Amino acid sequence: MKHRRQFDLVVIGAEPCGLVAAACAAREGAACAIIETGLEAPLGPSAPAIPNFVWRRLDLHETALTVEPVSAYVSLFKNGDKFATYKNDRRTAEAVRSQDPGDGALWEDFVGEMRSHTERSLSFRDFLVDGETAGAAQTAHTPHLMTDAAMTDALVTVLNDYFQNDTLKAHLAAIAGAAFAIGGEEPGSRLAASSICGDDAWRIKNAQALSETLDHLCASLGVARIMSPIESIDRQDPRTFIIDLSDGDEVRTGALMASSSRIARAAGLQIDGDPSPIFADENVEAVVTFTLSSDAEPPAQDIAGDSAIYYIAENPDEVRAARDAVLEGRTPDNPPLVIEFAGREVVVRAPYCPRMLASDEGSREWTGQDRQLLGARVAQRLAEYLNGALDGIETTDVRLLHIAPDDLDRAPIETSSPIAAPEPDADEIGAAARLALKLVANG
Amino acid sequence: MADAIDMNTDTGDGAFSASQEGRVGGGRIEGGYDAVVVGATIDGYVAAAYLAKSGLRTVLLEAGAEQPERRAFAPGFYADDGECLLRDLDTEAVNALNLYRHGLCYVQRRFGAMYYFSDQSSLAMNGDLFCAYETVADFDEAEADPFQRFLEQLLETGRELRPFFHGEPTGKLSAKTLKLIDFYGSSSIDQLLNRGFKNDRLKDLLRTEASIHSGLRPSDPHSFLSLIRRWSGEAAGLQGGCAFASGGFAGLYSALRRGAQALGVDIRAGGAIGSMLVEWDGAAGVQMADGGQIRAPIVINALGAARAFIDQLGPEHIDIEFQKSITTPEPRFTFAKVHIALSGAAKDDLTKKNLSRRLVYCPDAREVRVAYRMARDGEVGPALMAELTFPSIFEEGWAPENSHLAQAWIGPVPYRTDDMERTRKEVGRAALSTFEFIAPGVTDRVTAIDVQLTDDRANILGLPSTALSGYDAVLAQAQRARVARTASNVRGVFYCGPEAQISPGVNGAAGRRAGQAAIAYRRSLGAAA
Repeated sequence: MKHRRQFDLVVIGAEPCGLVAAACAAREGAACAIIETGLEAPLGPSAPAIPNFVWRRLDLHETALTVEPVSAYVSLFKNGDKFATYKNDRRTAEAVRSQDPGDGALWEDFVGEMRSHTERSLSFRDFLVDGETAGAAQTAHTPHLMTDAAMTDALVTVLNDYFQNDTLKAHLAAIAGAAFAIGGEEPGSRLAASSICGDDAWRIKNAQALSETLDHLCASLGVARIMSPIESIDRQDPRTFIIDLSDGDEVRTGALMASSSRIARAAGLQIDGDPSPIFADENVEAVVTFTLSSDAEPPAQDIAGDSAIYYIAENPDEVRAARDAVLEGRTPDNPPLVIEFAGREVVVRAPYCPRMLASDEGSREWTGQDRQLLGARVAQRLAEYLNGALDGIETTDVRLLHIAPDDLDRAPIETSSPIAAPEPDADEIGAAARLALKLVANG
Repeated sequence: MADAIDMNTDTGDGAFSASQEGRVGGGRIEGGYDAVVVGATIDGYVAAAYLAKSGLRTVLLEAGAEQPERRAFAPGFYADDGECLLRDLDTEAVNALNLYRHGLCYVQRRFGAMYYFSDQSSLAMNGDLFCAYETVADFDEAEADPFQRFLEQLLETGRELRPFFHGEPTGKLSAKTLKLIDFYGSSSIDQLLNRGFKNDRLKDLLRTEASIHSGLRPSDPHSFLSLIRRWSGEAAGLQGGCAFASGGFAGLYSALRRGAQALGVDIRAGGAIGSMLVEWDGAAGVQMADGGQIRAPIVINALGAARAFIDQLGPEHIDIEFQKSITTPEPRFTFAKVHIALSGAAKDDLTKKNLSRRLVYCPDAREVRVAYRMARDGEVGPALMAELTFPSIFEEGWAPENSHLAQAWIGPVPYRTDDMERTRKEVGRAALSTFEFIAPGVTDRVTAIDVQLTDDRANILGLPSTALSGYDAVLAQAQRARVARTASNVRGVFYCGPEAQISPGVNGAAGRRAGQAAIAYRRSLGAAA
């Protein structure tokens, strides 16, 4: 028999940000459901942070959850140099100063300026309309115009404006690039720097505990969990989506969102709304997991602490070249990498992989062989940078996040209407929660 | 108006005789003018004409830049180094200067287009974008409808946004347009095309139309606005169309010059400008390099921002942020202009029909991406976008009897390289191979080829290269124009150089705006007195 269920908000994707979105909406009294897609990213060692407003709304202090920031973001270089930044601004400023006194003097200004911008809400529409109301009385000195400039500034421009030190620039370009898979010279890409400098952008290390707590919280708030695959989504009118599930059930909802733009893309759904300048959709992210015979020894522990995230990109040019490669359907020669250590596992993310590979006959899908090659290339690059820390690899697993895994046999979702998704932001959870609250408030 | 001159210093006796000679110099101090316009650019002429028309005594200083002329690059073959395809000429300015009376004449008004694709297919389109349906239906029936709707939406949005591209308040935008610009605002061309169409060739077509002359790569955020901007303009009464003026760019210039002269603008050649004079925070005129002065309470500058504000107004009147925000950064890639001399051309009707169109080569998405990457790294890519037209089809005088002149915009190519001569050669080779692809066998008939990179054209036209490099991101340009228009903190100084322009190509709207602002300023002075 066909079951019909009615919700106020349905979230596609059961990642932490999706769980938070549903929980926040449920706290507002909305009837919510989460549809698991099977495309969720595997839980890594670290997770996105929980901004304060989410913490308060969900009363997370009443749970047993404690969160701890990861100890550092560390860049590794081929010549053995290393450079780290920390959640604590003062400690980071100190690190920058010891690298280059001039840059150190500017660090606080840089972070201040990055945080002060409200570009997130700036759109071409605002630019048009504000410009008119402000009229000709403006002078070059109004902050308004400076914000306008920020809309089209490139990440590399702002880095070169502020800093001299190549190590620092490579470090920032690697973190910002890895978060959004941008090349750093696109107009507006400086927004990536704003995002990674944000107050709630620093990742936390208790991914597992966070996920469990959120699961539990959603269950206690009555958020429905739907496991069966979606067959089609039909938007009857602006306030009614009808979702047909493959088990024959039908779900109706007033509002629909993807937990992240990644999930939406993996499911083949189009994203609704004003695209952000740091939204890149030509790439897929590869996660390569190496299992070692014994616990891995993370490098540079003197400056990195015990739970650091490591970045590999020699300079901003490597980030740029990686983005070029993605656009042309190649895997980059020197892929920028993000590395995390968890016991015997070394989890490496390679954000710059093309969605489709170029071939003589146009483009083609990834094959098992392509993945193997990628895994080998990543292992080789790690060996160059990690200096033996990766000895004794027992297994290598390569997974592409934006592409449905081979064993997940699902027909593409039929739909004609685009779907809402959070804006790209290093504060993933905050972005998803804000979108969910907005959708519920409009309903 | 004229009786309100109270800010001028006394005029020396020699002032008017100097102006009759049409030259400045001899270290004299001249007065008797209400306004000085520096720079005989299109916008300079328009601004000066507006001032003269409202009764102000106006002098236009040519600032060393010569009138563009047709340049012979092979015996009997002439190249046009300016922007010869007009896409957006400010209608109000055309009327105010009465340009049609003064010799502006279109020898081709509605260019059709022939698009050639990398897979050897091609598509002919009428010059009127509103009538694209039929031709596209023959090409791909399923896509004709979405394509037509897409074009109409774009043209409508472009029309509503035209005032914005001309630097004016847009007024009330319809709810539909606001919704569309939310959507178009930060999108890249690739993102929107992937959303809108399934047919890769139609995507290639639109990508090429949007990218030729845009300073952005199709994968860059905000790049979609370039296409709206490109199609917002109106040339010879057709939105999104393009037109070729008799005599090309030089023809347009001479019409402007005559129009401005007829309105009483005193046009002077020669003397190099030293600096703008500022007294008591207000404009006081212009100081020539030889020490002479022309005094007037209004100065309009139509030169590049760096020259206008830093060299001529002086760094003491502007702050560093302002300097930074008005100076166009050097681009990484640009489009080259190539002139090709063709011998033994047929002049029959069929050839005439085929060659009176724009021939556009549209590489596929990957080729375009490779070309942009290579251009940025100083190389010339294997397949470039190209737009070819044939002036000799419309008008005598561009090529000898039984020959044709082909001119092409081609790119992306590097903006600046260590070995410009090599780059020129490679661009020439790329242009020929594209031409050969479009018209097999044509290479044998090429007798001469002339490649003009941005710097070359800048030298010929006496403009800053950044003003010719193709157009920067719409938003960056709009923001810069907003700042540049407010000029400086100096009263009576107005600006209409290339940095004040948001719209594509030659246009005149910035000059009109500056002229109108100067007239309003002059009135307020009169009222205060």
